[in-house]
Amino acid sequence: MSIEDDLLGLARAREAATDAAVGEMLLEAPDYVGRQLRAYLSRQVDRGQIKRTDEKTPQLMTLDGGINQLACPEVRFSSGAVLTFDIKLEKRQRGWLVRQFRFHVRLPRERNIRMVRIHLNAGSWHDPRTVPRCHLHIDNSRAHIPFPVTDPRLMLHIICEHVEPGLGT
Amino acid sequence: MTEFSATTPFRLVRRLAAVGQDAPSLYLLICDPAEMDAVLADMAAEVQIQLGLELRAIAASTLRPETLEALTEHNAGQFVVIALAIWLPELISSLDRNIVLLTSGGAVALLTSSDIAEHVLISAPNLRNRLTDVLVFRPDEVFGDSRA
Repeated sequence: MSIEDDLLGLARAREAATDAAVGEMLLEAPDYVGRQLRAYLSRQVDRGQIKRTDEKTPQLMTLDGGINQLACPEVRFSSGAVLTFDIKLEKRQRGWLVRQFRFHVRLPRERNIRMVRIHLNAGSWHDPRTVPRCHLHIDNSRAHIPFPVTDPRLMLHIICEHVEPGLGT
Repeated sequence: MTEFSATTPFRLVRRLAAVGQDAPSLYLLICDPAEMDAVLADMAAEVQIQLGLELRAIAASTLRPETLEALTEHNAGQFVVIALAIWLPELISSLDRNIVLLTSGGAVALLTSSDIAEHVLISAPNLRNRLTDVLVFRPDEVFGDSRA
């Protein structure tokens, strides 16, 4: 077996583990998850970390094919950082599957890192060596750095508690 | 009709979370009668998520003046909402006489229509004096699905 075949096999095994983790990560109904995210953002407002948020954030929409989307067009941090995110959920028998998410954080100008994007794609790329299904981008880099599958609620917490205050300082 | 501040279940529960749900407080909440079930469902979700409590919704028509004491026995894990869909003068009179008992267990809300709320405010002076606030739920501000 060539080294290329070996690397492809390793990447496919990682993607299979990612798919299995996504399949295990079933959430409550989108309305409920949206309320949890809204309550979490409100607590961050109370702590002064986030500026006042729109009460209708995140917005819940039903897309084609029965996919539900929770979208947050803009959350402004007191530091000047800006977070946008969207989460697509698909109904399954045992709960709601996280089909896809995108979390984008624009950090303040004075930081060494200006932007972080964390994505869970809807499916695996044809070449998982270059694009892992769940990955991280730093700034405008096209490099796709593998990222562990994480519940979107925990992702929001990681961003608020660690990424936004600590990255690029 | 007197103008009262508008709120949403989210904002109301956030306020309760800030002051502490164990603090004796009494809210008169007004909504469109047709929206009462939706408001209660919205409040139940917010109470569960923000306070970690169960919303105990009680239809006022099931209450009897002689059993009001049972209302005060609600557990610490509950937030009591009395849904007053029709005008019940005897019950309101009894609530008015036992108002201290009513709020002794923590926060309580009375959910009703604007017309009945006016009756309550006029005919129950003790209850009126004990009110923490009178708030109106606007239907367009309720959180929920919007079609793309």
